[in-house]
Amino acid sequence: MKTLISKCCSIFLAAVLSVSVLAGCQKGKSGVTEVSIGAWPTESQKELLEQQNQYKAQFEEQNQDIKIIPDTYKFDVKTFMVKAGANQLPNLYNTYFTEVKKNIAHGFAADITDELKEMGWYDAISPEIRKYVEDENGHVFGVPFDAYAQGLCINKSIFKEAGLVNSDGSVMIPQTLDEVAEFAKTIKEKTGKAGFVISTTNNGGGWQFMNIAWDFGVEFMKEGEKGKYIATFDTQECADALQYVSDLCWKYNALPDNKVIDVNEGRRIFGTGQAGMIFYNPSGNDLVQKYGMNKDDLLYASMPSGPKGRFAQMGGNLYMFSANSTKEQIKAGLKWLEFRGSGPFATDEILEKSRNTCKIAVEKGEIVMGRDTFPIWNDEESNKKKNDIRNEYCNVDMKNYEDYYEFKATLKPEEPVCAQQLYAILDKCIQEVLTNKNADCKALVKQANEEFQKNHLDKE
Amino acid sequence: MKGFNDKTTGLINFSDLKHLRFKILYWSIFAVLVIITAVEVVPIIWIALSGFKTTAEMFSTPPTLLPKSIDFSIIPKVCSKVNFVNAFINSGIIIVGCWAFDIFMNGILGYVLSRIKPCGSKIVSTLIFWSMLLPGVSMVPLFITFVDVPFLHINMTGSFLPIWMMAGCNAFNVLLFRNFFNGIPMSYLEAARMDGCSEIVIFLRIIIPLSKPIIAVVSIFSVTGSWANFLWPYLLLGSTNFEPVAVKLYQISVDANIQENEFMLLTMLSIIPPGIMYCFFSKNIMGGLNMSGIKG
Amino acid sequence: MNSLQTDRKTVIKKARIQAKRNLSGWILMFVPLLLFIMIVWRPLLMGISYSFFKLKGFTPTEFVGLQNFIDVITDTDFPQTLMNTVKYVVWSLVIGMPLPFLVAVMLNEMIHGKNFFRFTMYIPVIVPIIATSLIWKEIYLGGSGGLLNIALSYFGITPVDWLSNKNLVIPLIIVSMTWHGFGGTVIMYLATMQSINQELYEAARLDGAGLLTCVRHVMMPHMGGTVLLLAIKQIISVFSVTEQPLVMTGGGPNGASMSLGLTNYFYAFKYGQFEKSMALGVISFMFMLILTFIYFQVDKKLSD
Repeated sequence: MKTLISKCCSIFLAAVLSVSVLAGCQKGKSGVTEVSIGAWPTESQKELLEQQNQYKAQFEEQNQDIKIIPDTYKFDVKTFMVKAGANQLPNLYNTYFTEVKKNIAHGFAADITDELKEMGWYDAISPEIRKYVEDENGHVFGVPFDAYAQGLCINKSIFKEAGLVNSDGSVMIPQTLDEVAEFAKTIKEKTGKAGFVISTTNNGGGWQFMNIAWDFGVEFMKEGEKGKYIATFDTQECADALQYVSDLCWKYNALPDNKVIDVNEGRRIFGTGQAGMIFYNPSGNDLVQKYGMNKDDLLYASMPSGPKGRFAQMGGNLYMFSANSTKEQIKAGLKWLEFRGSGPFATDEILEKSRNTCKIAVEKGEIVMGRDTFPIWNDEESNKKKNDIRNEYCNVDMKNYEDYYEFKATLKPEEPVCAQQLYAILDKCIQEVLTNKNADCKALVKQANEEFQKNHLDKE
Repeated sequence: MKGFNDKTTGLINFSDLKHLRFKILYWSIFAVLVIITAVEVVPIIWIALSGFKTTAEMFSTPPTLLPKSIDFSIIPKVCSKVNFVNAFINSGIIIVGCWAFDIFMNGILGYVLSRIKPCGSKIVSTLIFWSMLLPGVSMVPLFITFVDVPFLHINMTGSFLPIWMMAGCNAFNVLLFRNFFNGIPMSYLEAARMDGCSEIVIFLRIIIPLSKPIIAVVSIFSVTGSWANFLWPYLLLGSTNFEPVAVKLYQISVDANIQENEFMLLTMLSIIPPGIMYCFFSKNIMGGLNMSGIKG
Repeated sequence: MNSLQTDRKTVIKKARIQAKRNLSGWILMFVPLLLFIMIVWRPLLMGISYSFFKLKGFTPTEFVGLQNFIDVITDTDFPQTLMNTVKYVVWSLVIGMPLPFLVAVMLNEMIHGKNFFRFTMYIPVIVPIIATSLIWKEIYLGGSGGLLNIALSYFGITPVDWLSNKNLVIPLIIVSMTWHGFGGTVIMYLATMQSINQELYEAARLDGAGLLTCVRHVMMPHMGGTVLLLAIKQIISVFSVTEQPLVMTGGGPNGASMSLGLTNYFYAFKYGQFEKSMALGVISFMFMLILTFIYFQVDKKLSD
C-alpha cells in the first residue's frame, strides 16, 4: 500500500512541479500591465526570435508599466476553437478576415473601438478595410495588418510555352472569364499542363467560386424581415456560373487531373509548374519558398470580368484581442503593435524596423514587393515612407504586378452571414459538376439554395 | 537456409512437404507474401527516394522513379533546419510515460473489477464501457480541466502530464485487462487471501507474473498509439519545446519555409528509430504475446 | 447451539473478509478511478449537459432542450453522412478483417524469411499518420503521375482520378487505413495462432481432415475471441473516422466520403458550434450502443 501512496504523491508532486503557468497571470505587480502576445517566434526560428526578444527588451525599457508575455500560439484551425472555448487565447492573437464574424459571434474577441479612438487609429484605418474588422453596429474588433484582393496569378513561362505572348514579348493577360477559359484551353493543348486550377474542398472551392459567381451577377442572400436572411441564389445566373466551372473541366478540358483538392493542394499544383493560372493574391511567397517556383515567373493580374461585372473578394490577416482582455491590456497590446510597426504612423524608429524586416526577408530568399499588398491605413505620407523602404529591398520585377495593382475589379466583402457554411455548400456543387459530366447545374443550384436556407439561415 | 525438415509448426508440416503438391502450395504462399510485402514497402521507398529529388524532378511528367542523384549531405542540412532530435526525445518521454500509466492504472482497475469485485464494481464496469463509445464530446471540457485542474487549480498545459494521464484511463485497455484476469481462477487468489496476503501483494506477486501476455498486447496498443497520437499533444504542447515527432511533422508540413522534398525526407527519417526499436523488441513482443484467453 | 455459533462465526468471518475486500478494492481503485472521473466522466457529463444549451463560445446562454439534436438530425446532409459512416464500418470489416487474418495464416506457415515478413508488415504502422495520408494521396493521384495509375498503365489501363469517384472513395480510404493498421492486426493474429497446441492439428490431420477443415474446426474456434476483440476495436475507431477523409478528400466529392466524425470535427473546429458537435457525439453514441449490443450477443454465442 505504501508504494502506491508514495507513487500517488510523487505523481502529484510531479504535476505541480512540471506545470508551467502560461496563462492566468494577468495581475502582476501593481501598476504593471502584463499582456500576452501570440505568434511569438519559436526556437526553431532563431533569427526572428532573437530580434523579437530584442524588441521586447527595448519596448519594456520604454514602457516601464508594461510587461510582455511571449506566447507561441499561432492560429490553426485544428486548435483555435478549443483554445478559444477554454479562454486560453493570448491577449493579442492573429487570425484571418474570414474568421472575424465567427469570433465576434462566439464572443472570442474584445471590442477595441474606444482604445483605437484613444490611440487615434480608428480614423486612420481606411474605411474600405474597416468593414472587415467591425460588427454590424460599427464596433471595431481587430487591427488589420495585411489585406489583399484576390487576383489572377499567372505562370509566365507556361504562358510563353503555350505561345500566349503579345508582339512585344510580354505575356497576354486574360481580362474576362471567357478569355481565361480560352487561354486555359490553349495551355492544355499546347503544353499538356492544366490551364487553370480551382480548389474544391475545405471551403476553398466556395471561397474562390464567389469571384466567378459575382461576375455572373449572382446575389447570394438578402435581408428579409426581422433581420433574417433569405437565400437568393436559385437563379439562372448562378447556374450559369456553375456551368462555367463545369465547362472549364469538360468543354475546355483545362483543369488538373485531380479534382478533389483543397486550397493548399491547388497552390501546390500551380507552384510546382503544373498549371498556368490560379486565383491567388500577392505576394505568393509560399509558391516560391515551399514549391520552388521561380519568382520571376509569377505575374499577377486583376480578377477577370464576367457578363455582369468585375468583382474581387477581399481577404487578409488581422490581430484580435481575446475577450477577457482588460482595457489596460488592450492599450498595451496596441502600443506593442505600434512599436513593432503595425500601426498607422511611420516614425524613423519604425521605419528602421521595417528596413530590418525587409533585410531579413531578402536574406531568407522571400519575395519583397515594392509596395504593400493593399493600403490599410489612410495616412498617405506614412504609407509612402514605408513603401519607399520596400522599394529599396524589392527583389521582384514590379511590372509583373502592374495589372493587379490597377485594381480593375470592384472589391467586395464576404457575404454577411454564414459565409463559411455557404462555401461548404458551394464546394459540394463544384465537386459534383467536376466529377459528373452530366450534372444538372440548375437542379444543383436549386438544391444548394434550399439546403443553405434550411440548414443554416433558418437556424441563425 | 532452413530446410523443410525443420518445419514442425503450422498447418503444413514437414511430412506434407515431401509431396510436390504441398511444395507448390508453400512456395505460392511465399510468393503472395512477397507481393504483399511489396505493397507495404514500395510506397514508402518511393516517398523516401522522392526526398532526394528536386521539386521540379518530383513533379515531372512522366514521373521518374529514381532521383537523378542521391546526395546524402542534404540530410544533416535538413535536420538542422528543424530540431528533430529534440522531437524524438520528446516522443520517447511521452511513449514511456504513457506506457507506464497505461499498464499500471488500467491494469489495477481491470484487476479490481475482475478479481476483487468490491461492491459497486458492476456500475463502474458499465460506466467504463460506455465512456469508450462517446467520441469527441468532451474535447473542450477536458482541455478546460487541464487548464484549471479541479481543486488543485494548477495549469497542466505545456507539460507531458496530461498526455500521460489520458493514457492512464483507457477504457478499452481496462476491459482487456479485466477479461484477461477473469481467466485466473478465483480459488487461486482465495488461498493467498486466506494466507493473509494483502491485495496489493497479491497483485504484485501473483497477478503481474501471470499477465505477461496481456501486458505485451496492451504495450503494443499503447506504444503505437502514443507514437501516432497527434491532436492532444498538438493542443497541449504545440509551439513549446516539447513537441513529439507527430506534431513536429505536421508543423513542418505547413511551414512555408520547408520544401516538399525536405518534408518527405524528414518523414522517412522519422520512421527509422521506431523501426530499429521494433527489430530490437520484436522477439520479446512475440514471445510474451499469447492472446489465448484474451477477448473484448 | 454449537453449530449455530460456528455458523455465526463463519458468517462474521466471511463478512469481515468481504468488508476487507471492499475496502482494499476501493483503495486500489481510488487513483485510477480519480483519473477516470477527472479525465473521462466529468468532461463527458459537461459535454452531454451542454448539448442541451445554446452556447456563446463555451458559455451556456440558454436552455434549448432537444433543439440541438433536432438541428443536427434535420440537417439535409445527415442521412447521407450516417449512411456513409455505416459504409465505412462495413467496408472496414470486409477489407480490414479477413485480409490480415489470411496473411497471418500464411505467415504462420513460413519458415523462410518469417522475421523479414513480420518486420516489413509492421513498417506502415510506424509511419506517422500525416505521412500515410500523403503517401496514399500520391498513390491515388489522378492523371499519369499517380503510383496506382503508373502501375495500371503497364496493363494498358488509362489513368483514373480515383478519389473523385463517388462509389470508390470510401473503399479507397479504407484500403489506405487498412494498409496503415494491417501490421498490428497481423501480429495479434499470429500470436494467437502460435498459442494453438500443435498436436490438435496433427490429431485432426490423422483423422483425415484437409487443410481448410483444420482452419475451420481447429484454428477458427481458437481465434474467435481475438477476431471479435479486434473487430469491436475497429468498429469503434472507424465509426468516428475523421482524419483520413479530412486529409484525403475533405468529405468530397459532393459529400460522398463525409463521415459523422468529420461532420463533428467541422461543427466544433471550423464553425465553433460546440453544442451541435456534442449533440452529434451523443447521437453517434446511440448508434454505437446498438453495434455493441450486437457484439455482446455474438460474444455470448461464442462463449457458449
